[in-house]
Amino acid sequence: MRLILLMFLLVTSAFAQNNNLQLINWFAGADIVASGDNLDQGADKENHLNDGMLVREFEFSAVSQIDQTWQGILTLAYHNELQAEEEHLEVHEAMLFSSKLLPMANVKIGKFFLGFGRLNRFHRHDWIFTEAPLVQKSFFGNEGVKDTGFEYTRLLGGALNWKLTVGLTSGGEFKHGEAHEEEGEEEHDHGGNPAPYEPTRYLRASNFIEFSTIEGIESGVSYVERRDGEGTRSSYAGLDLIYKKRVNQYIDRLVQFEVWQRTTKEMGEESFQDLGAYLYFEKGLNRHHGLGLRFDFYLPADLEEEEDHDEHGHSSIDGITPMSNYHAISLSYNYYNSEFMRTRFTLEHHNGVDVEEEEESFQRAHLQFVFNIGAHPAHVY
Amino acid sequence: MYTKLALLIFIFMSKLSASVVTTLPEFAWIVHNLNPDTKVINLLQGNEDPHFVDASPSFVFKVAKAKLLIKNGMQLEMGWLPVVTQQSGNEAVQLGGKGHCDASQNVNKVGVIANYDRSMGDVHPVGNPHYTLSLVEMKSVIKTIAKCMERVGLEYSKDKYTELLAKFDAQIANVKKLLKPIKMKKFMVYHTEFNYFLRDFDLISVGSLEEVPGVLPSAVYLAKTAKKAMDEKVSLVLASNVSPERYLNKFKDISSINYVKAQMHPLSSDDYLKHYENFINELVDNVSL
Repeated sequence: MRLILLMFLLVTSAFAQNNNLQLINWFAGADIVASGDNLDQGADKENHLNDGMLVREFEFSAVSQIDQTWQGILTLAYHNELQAEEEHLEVHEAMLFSSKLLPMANVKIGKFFLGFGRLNRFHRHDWIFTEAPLVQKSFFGNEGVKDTGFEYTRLLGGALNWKLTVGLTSGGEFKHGEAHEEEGEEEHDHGGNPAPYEPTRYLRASNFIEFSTIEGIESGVSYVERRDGEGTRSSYAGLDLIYKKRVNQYIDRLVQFEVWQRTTKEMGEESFQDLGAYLYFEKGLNRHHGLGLRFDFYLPADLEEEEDHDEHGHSSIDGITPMSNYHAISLSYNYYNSEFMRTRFTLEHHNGVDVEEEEESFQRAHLQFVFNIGAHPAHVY
Repeated sequence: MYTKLALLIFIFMSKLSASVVTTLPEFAWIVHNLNPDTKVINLLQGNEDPHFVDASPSFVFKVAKAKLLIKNGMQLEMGWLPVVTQQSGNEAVQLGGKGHCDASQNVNKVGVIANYDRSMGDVHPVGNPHYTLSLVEMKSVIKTIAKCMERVGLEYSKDKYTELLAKFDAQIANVKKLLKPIKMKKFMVYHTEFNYFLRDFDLISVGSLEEVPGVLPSAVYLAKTAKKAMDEKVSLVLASNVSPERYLNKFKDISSINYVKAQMHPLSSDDYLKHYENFINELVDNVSL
């Protein structure tokens, strides 16, 4: 992996030396997080995050037209997750993209973040909160699911502006988990699974209701299905919604919501379901200040007969495997330094019962700095 | 009841499939004046800050079937229009396509910056993009739009074209007359949105309320600027409809100098020339004589 980075840097340096620089949009973004919690003082000392300050993620991206039809997008990321012990590098995107191949359609081929749900479709530095909601962590990992394959998005039209996305990927990667390849080892599935039996397939149908040019709601329904190397079949059904009202330079009101239900069936076993949701409100006070409030809810499957449920990494959230209703509330203060930088302070309160039937209740705080340099592409809604 | 509903849906759908889509309302007004039969819609309604608009999915659908897309250009819409055209999957209106029309291509640009970085604030290295408040530059925009229409096979009346240019010439002469009594007055601006207008009519501006473009001024800078404005005997501060009122009021409290918040773009249904005249009248009425 270090070789890839070295090659990437060499190539970028070479381009930086000549006039071709104008043909490529270079972009880099970093996410610096300082965190602390009080878990190490309670009953569950093993589960607390790494306290302190770290560069959680650093992305380096190049975007350019390849020819009259295709665009190339390459994004490399460095990670140092709060939940993980080691740092690692990985390819976030290496894809061909075309908005000119087929009318009213976009096509992606290669490695990319899969186009379902809300959070999955965005790079984490563009998220409106620091840490992934419980349902995202449990089902998809600390950031969006990425994999290698094909995705097709078609505008359908109609009074509600319908759009359909379908995708088929190898299934080689899914949950963006804690375990990553050690140097010299073969790359493995982030969810801890070997080679897949079946590709991941998904679809999302979305619509948009415009109240005015500065206010509207986009909502979508998604369905994802896969089967991992151990024969465990999982399907995910989700609903996502975003409402925004903008006042000139800032978002005055924002509501973001996702609910997901997962059905898991291991070979020769009964299927079980778990459910999770989050709801986020943000009130912009002016172009610099905003206050956010998020409610998280996660209802795991009945685990009485599933002693080894945690083995597949299905329901573990930061090392805690919830037994019954698990919820969290987060309050954040967002300072938008400029269009290209923001600072966010978040306080989280978690509450639930874990597999050892112990009441979990702890607080966590994050201070985050996110910035980008270079030509960051325009954001989708 | 059902017939009315069907009619409404038909009107709505026909609006979606306009031949020409423009970002700003004034460009739609020009297209309409060149050929009233052309189906044209504008994405923005005129009261937004065109720098800061979300790439609304409704824009994507409007652009998806357009033959011609007319934009302000000079990076004014760079935060949202590229993603709208890309998501539309409409090859014709994307950069390099036959139906992609940059209205600024023949504008005599001011404020081009050779060496630029983000510490200079919200500036556009390719030039100040706020040329739509310049009658002189809008004449070149009419010519550009007419050429773009020709390129994609949209007809327009040559008579109406000539008539429209003549109306602009008449309006320029009219504005010169209206501005005559305040010709020697000094102005300040909140943001650099009036540079083309000031240049057109040789009006004097002694500076900006923003220390760095696009960044809110500090209390210290505002106080310093207010003192400078009083020393220079500034008559009026020109601001746009999206300038922050709190800072303008603070400046007024310190300096006792009035401000006008001009509507930078005509609202969708407005006549551009009428809108322009209203702006001039408001300005003249508020200048302290």
